Amino acid sequence: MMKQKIFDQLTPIFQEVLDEPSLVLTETLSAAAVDGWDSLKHITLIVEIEALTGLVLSADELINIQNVGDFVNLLYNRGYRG
Amino acid sequence: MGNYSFHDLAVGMISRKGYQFTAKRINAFSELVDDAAPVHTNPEFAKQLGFDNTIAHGLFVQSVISGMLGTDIPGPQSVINSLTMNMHLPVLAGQQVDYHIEITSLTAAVSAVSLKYSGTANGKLVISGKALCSFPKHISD
Repeated sequence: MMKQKIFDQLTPIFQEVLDEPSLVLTETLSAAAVDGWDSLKHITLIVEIEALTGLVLSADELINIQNVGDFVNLLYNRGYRG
Repeated sequence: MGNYSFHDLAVGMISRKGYQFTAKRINAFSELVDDAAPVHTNPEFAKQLGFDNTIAHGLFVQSVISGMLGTDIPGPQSVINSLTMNMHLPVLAGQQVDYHIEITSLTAAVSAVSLKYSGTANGKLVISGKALCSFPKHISD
């Protein structure tokens, strides 16, 4: 349930940044599956996620992010509960 | 001109610049971008629309911000990811716009710099917005 809350909070960020108003976030959703999720948009996503959570993420943490589920797990493991 | 690396930057750093929107410059911009809208080039037409003189293109007014971002803060080693723009008042030919840019946050993991900017003419806000810049080592596409 805690992770679902994080999904719910990330959804409008991904929809806005990727300009996909109907985008549904799933654990396995990755950049390859979304037109426009390029490296520049990825930077914007990180900036917005830090603004949302108040966390300061590191490059080492982000290097292994493969999909939305990895994002959520990272935030959860850093103590963010939404 | 600033030549900062990401780690030289700090929240609260500012840049200021004044720019004069002469009729000559507005006409040159019209020609450059092939914009023949007469409100920018024909004073009589502009007066018919209720302006005291021709007005600068909104994107021209914003373009000065691009130069400040690329030459001062974050500087030549950065690129612009996104810019927002809110136009508050028209900029008339002959007016000077005084610009102000400020770093609002830094995202070290992706070397990204968030900024806000504004421009005033005769003390009145004419343009404002936000910018997101980054240092290209993170741009792979």
